[in-house]
Amino acid sequence: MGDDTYYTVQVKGTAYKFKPIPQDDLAMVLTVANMGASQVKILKALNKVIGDSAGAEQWDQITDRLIAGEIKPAELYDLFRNIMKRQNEEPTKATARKRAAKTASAQ
Amino acid sequence: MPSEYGPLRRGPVAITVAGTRFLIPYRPAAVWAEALGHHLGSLAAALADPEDRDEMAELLMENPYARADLERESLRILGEAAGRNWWEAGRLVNTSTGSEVLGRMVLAGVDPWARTVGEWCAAVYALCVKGQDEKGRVKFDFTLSIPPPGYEDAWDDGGSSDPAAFLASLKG
Repeated sequence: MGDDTYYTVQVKGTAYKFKPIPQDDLAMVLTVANMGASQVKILKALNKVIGDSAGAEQWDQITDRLIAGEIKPAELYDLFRNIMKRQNEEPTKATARKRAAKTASAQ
Repeated sequence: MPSEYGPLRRGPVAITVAGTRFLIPYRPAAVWAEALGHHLGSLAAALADPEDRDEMAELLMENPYARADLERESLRILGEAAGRNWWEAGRLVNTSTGSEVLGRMVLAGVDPWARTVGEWCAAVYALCVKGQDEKGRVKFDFTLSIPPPGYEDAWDDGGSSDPAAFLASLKG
């Protein structure tokens, strides 16, 4: 997974690009969510990691839509899960790509 | 090493996360069982008062080492409260939520809302070894005592290199 890796995710009709979230940050959000912290703290944790992943400009747009009520706070957690799912799929895809390349070179 | 009196204690326990000390209030076995069902690594936070839980969440966001602290402290208090290794306590509590074991415990009058997690674990253990012969009991103890992957170094074999002495220690 290189530095230029990103995932395109649709959020209420608009596509945004997200950089991979560091494993420590993924674990931090999951811990905060699992430990029964208040909704405000969970949102704050999501805000931190998705903000970093989206970059300042896109995050500004997303927060504007959050404030306008167009995006619900719960949907932020769905977005987080979506990015995490894409990241977890990535190593499997990379392995499949390597296997396909190896097969092709052997033929 | 877990204290032999730990299972009987009904007082708060102190934990430290990212240099901040918290007091986790006494919780009955039922609350531990529910908290263990979510995430072992954040058990201490799940047992904490809501204000302390939120403060721990802040520490997790601010300090990259806080999560490791919380996990270490969660495992420590589970082991201390149960008076046995944390993974043994975790397995016994998980076993107790299965319908057959839970049913037997309830029929025996063991109330998870009235018992400490240590007493609850002791009752589950007693139920599991009840009626077993020596061989079955040693086998159960051995299976229970094996640490999960990644925690092999925490396995306390009593410092003996003699397999027979080790097996004998499992009976104790």
